[in-house]
Amino acid sequence: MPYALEAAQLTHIYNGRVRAIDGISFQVEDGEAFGFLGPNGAGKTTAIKIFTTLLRPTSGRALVSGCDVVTQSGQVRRLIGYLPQQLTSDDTLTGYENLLFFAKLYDVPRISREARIKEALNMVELSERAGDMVKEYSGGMKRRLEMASVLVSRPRILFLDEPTLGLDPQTRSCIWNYLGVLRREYGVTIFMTTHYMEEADKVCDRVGIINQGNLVACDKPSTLKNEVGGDIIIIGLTDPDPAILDKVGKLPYVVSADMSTGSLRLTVRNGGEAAPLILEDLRNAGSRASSILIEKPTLEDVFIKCTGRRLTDEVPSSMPTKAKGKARLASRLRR
Amino acid sequence: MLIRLVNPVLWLAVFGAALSYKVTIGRTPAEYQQFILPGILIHTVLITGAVYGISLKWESETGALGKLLAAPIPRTSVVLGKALAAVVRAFIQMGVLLLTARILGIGYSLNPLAILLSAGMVLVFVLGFASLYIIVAMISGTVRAYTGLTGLLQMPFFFASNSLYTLDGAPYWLRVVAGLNPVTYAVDFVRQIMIYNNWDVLLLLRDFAFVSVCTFAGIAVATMLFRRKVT
Repeated sequence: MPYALEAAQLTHIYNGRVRAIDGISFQVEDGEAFGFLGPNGAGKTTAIKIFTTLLRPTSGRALVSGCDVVTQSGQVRRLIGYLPQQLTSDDTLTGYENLLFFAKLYDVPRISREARIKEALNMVELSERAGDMVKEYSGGMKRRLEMASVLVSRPRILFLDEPTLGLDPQTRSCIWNYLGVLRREYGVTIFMTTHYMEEADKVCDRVGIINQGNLVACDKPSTLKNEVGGDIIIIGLTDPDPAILDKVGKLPYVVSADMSTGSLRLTVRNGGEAAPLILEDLRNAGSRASSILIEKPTLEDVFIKCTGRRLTDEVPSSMPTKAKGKARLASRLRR
Repeated sequence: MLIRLVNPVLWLAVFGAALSYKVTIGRTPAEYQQFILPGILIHTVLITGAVYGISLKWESETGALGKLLAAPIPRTSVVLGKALAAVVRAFIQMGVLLLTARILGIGYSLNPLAILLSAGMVLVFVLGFASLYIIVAMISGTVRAYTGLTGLLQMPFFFASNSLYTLDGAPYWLRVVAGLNPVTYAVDFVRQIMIYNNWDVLLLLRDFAFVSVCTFAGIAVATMLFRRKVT
């Protein structure tokens, strides 16, 4: 049985200069929910575009259910569904008509069309509004309609690029629920990209941490978080002095210390016990804490551990759009 | 769409009437208006296709095109779909224009064969120009570049042809350019069978063939470019 998805040394370079993804390899099993977690510009959208046959990789291989995306692209397209980052329902049609269009696009047999559309609308709770023009829908409704279209086309593998970007918390919850339904009841394999750690944590069986085109970690969220090695204590210092890092790093109960985010981040075995000790030790070292926070590790901590950066820091390394170019220039000038 | 229909009416009614007293084509003003009717028709349908290139650009920028390209439909059907939409629109405009011409009292052949064949010519012609617009859409960076380029191209096609005037006595370079312009042949075809009731088969075949070849080339290039751009 081939993997649902497989990447082998997948690389893509834009315009001969920008390495969007660099030798990525991974596999996704049938029925799994897999996510790429990384900041903007990490190469997530590039990866999705390659798997959905919208982009030809520079080198390496990408396989969908054993079919090569380059040489067997027609077969690949018959197996997949794709929800891009932007909302792409047709504004000038009604919700129902959009779904009908999808049914026809994906060759759903005429007899089943009506039933599937009805079922899909029920799942996303848009049955009453199905006859209204999509331009009257809210952003959340449009996203839900798109999820309904997936239920109509019933792909084996579904690709979602930032599925809940910019949505309100209720809709986000709904979308996550629908994804669960798709997996459990229809056996759909899910591949998504996101920069929201709670989304990756909640929805995905396994998460691939991606940064600047490289897959730096790939495992179950719980395993990844355990590897952080313990609880996190974040201390705001009144005057942050890099020398403190050395002193603190040598303390016996500290697993690792980091100051790249501006505050002092310590990984300790037991946050509750270590907190009073660290405050004491800091005072002895001549530094003063202005704030203290104790946390269980999150995927963002995993990300920081693997890359030294936060998920929300944008690094303009791939996809050279004009906006990113300007951001790059602006950040250079700031330094 | 209604607003867009005003333009050809203006050409016919105002321009045609105004110029007919100065131009010595035909003995009466009505004859000049008849003369330019095919030209106006072809020009109108030529302009119609432009909007589909914009929609292609727009869709590629918003991700809607991505959704279509990831679907199990043949890639070329995306291009063909746009071209056929342009044809449908062109037919509607043709119908309205002919009706308007009737109302303005401009005579033309009501021979159903003539009308059918003219529609056939419009179909082939529009498919060709839709391909051109799609090619321009693919080489343009932005929607603005696209509208600029198409605007630049449309006028020469109209004026370097026999749409508004005959070409005997025209300077050599103009006759050469017009001779390479599919508009000239399309207009001639429609004019012969709709206005002059001239069924010279060889002439009509020549006209139809020229436009068909241009259209075929256009579709081929557009498809090739499209395929290359999208794996």
